[in-house]
Amino acid sequence: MVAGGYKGKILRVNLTDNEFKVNPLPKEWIKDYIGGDGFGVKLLFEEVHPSTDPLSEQNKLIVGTGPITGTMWPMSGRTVFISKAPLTGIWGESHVGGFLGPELKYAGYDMLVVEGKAERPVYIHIEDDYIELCNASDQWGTTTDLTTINIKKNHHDPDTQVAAIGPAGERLVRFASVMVNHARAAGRTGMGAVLGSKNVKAIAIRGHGGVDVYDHEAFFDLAKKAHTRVRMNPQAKEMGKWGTWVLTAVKQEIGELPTYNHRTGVFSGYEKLTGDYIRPRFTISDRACFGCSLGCKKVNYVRTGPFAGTLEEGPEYEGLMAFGSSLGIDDYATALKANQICNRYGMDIISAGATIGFAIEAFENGLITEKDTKGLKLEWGNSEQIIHLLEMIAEREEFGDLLAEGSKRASKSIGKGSEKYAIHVKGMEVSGQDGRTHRSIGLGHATAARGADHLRSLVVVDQLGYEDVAAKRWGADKLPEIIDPYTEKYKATAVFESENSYCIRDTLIVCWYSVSWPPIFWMEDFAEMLPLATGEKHFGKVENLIEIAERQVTLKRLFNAREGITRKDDTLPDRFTKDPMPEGPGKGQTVNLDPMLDDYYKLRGWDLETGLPTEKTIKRLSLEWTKAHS
Amino acid sequence: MPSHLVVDFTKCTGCRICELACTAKNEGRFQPSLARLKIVKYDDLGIDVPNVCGPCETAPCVDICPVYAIRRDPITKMTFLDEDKCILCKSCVGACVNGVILLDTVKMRIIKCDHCGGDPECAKACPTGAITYSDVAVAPSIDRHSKISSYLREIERTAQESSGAE
Repeated sequence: MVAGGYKGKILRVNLTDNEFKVNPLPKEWIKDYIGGDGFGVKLLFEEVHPSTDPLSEQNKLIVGTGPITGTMWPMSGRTVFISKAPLTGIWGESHVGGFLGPELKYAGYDMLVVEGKAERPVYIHIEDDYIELCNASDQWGTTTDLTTINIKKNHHDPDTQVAAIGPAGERLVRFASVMVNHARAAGRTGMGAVLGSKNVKAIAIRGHGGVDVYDHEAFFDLAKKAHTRVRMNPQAKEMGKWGTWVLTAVKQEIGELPTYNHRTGVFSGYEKLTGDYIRPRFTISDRACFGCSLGCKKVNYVRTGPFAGTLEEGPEYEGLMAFGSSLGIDDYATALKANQICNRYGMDIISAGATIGFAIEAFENGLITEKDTKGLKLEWGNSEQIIHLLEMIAEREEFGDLLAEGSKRASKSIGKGSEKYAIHVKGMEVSGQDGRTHRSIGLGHATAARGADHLRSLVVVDQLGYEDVAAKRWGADKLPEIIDPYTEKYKATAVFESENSYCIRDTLIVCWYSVSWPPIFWMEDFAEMLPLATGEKHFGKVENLIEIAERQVTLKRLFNAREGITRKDDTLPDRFTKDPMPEGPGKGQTVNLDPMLDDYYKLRGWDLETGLPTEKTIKRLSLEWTKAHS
Repeated sequence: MPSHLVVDFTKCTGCRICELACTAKNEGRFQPSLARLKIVKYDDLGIDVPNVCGPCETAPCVDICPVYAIRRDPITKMTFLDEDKCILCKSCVGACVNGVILLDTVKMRIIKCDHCGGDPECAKACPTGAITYSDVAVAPSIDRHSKISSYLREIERTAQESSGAE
C-alpha cells in the first residue's frame, strides 16, 4: 500500500495484443494529484498525443477512482471515465454514481486503463486478479439493460458490476454514454463512443477485497459524523424526497428554465415537470448510490397514457429540461420514456435533447426541409416524434445519422446560418442553465475544460442568495455584488474558488450533492478527512489542496491548448451574449463575457490575450514536465 | 426486552452503508464481501432488499450444524456461532435462507452476525430507518413485502390492460 485508501495498482488492458499489465501507482502522483480526475489528466496528458483522433486505436479510456472510493465517507462511491472526447476533440471526462468504482477498488485497482482496439466485440471481465476478454458478439446490438443482465448471468454473480454501452456507442454516436447499474450514466462528452470504437461492449468488475484507510478508528468516526451532518441538513432532506426535481420550480421562478432550445427561460407548462406533480403520480421508490445517505434517485412508473408500462429510474432535472421545457413538452411520461430510450441505447440526455432542439428550430426557420428529414415535420411539443427521433439517432438511421454527430457538426454540414441555433460551447451542448439570468454559469460554461459544463464550476451560492456562505467563502467586502446574478462583478472569484473545491471533490471522488449543493462539505472538511484516510499530512492544509486543484485545472487547460484551444474558444453562443432574455424576471439581460474572462484568467495566472497558462504559472504549479509532451 | 434486526423493505434505498459500517466495526476495514448482512439489489425493477440475520421462524443453520456449534436463544430466537466448536463444514452457509452466513476463505472461518453484541452498527448507520434494532413483537412481518407486491401487482395490471387493448 502506497498510502492509506489507495490500492497502489493501475490495471492496463491492451485490447490489440490481448495483454494485461498491472503497474504500480507512482507514489509521487499522490501528493500532486490526489486521485480521480487528477491521475486521469496526468496519465492522459503523457500517453495520448496531440491531434490523436478520439475514435482511433491510439486513444485510451481511463476508469478512475479516488483514495476514499469504497470507504464509508458520504457519497464516495463515484467513478470517473476519462478519455479524449469524441464529441469535442478535447479533454473529456464523465463522472457517474452507482457501484462500479468501489467494486474496482475491492478488486484491487485504483485505475483501469483500456488501450488499443479489439478485433471483434469483447467485454472486459475482472474478478480480483483474474482478468479476461470475453466474446461479446452475441451482445453486440443489445441494449444496456439486457447486456448488464446477460453478463451477470454469464458469470453467475448478480453482484458483478457492469458498465455497458448500447447501440448508440457501437454506432459511434458522438454523445454516446456508458451506463452503470441500468440507469446511472457517464453521459457527457461521448465516452460510450470511445468504448464502441475499441469494440468493447462492457466492463464487468467483481472484487472481494477491502479498502484500508490510514487511521481506521478516527476515519470511521469522522465518516459517521459526516453522515449525521447530511441526515440533519434540511436541504439534503428535501433532495432525498424530491431529487433534483426541486430545481424545476426554482428555475421557473428565477426565469432560467431553458425553453424552446434556450430561447427563453420561462415555460408555461412547467408545473407538470415539478416534483410536486411527479412524485405522487409516478414515483414508486427512492434509491441511492453507494455510500449515500441522501438518496436522490427515484424509480418511476407510468400507469396510463401512450407510454403506460414505462418503468425507469430518473430522469433528473437535466432530463426534465432536455426532453421537457427545452422541446416544449409539458408531459412527464414523455420525459421518462425519452430517458429510458437514452439509457437503453446509451446516449447523453442533455446532448440528445439539445441536438433535437437544434433540429426543430432549424426546421422552423426553413434551414432544414422535409426533403432532409425524409418527410418528418419537426415541431415543438410532439412527444411521439421525439421518441422516434431518438431511436433514429441511436441507430443512425436516415436523418438521425446527421444528428448523431451532435449539434455543432450537424449545423456545420447543414450550413446556411444554422450555426446560430446550435447551442454549444466547444462542441458540447449547453446544459440546463442560462448565463443571462445567472452570470457565473455563463463564465463557467465558457471556460470549463470539456465545453458547456455545469458540473465543474457551477456556483449555487450566488444564485440562491446565501449571504452568510458567500461572506465566509469570498469575504463580506464582495457583498452584495457577488451574489447578484445579474452583474459580472466578482463572478470570476466565485467561479475560481468553486472550481477549485469541485476539483478536489472530483479527485476524491465524492458526489456533487453534499459539496456543491447543498453546501455541507467544503475544503476544510476535506483537509480534516484526507490525512486520516491517506496518512499524507500534506493534505491537511486547505492552501495545499487549493494548489493541487489549480494544478489540475491548469493541466486540463494545457491539454486543451495542445489541441488548439485559446481564448477565442472560451465563448458562449450568441443566444446568451446578443439576444436579450425575452421574458420573465431576467427580461432584457445578456451576458457580457469579456470582463469576467479577464478576471478569471488573472486569478488562474493565464495570459489575458491567448487564455493560455503563463510560464510563471506553469513553473509555480510544477508543470514544466508538460513541455516534453507537446 | 429481546430485540432483533427489524427490516422495513419499503425504506431501503440500497446504499449499502450498512455493509460498510458492519465491516468497519467487525473487520477494521471497508470490505462489503465480508459483511454480516447483504443488500440484494434489483436494478431492473428498482428494488433493494436488505437481508439480515433473523428473525427466522425455524433456524436451518442450527438444525444442520453437525457439531452443535450454532445454538439458539429461546427468547430472542437469535442464533449464535461458537467458533471453537466449528469444523468449517460450511453446511450453515448453504442452509441460511437469507444468505448471510459466509465462509472467509482468507482467514478460514465462518462469518456470522452476532448483532454486534447487542448494539448493531448497521442499524445505527442506516440513513432511512430501513434496518432498526427493536422489539421482536413490533416486526411488521405482514408489511415486509408490500413494496414488492404492490409493485408487481401494478405491472401485472398494466400488462393486462395493454394486452386487452390490442
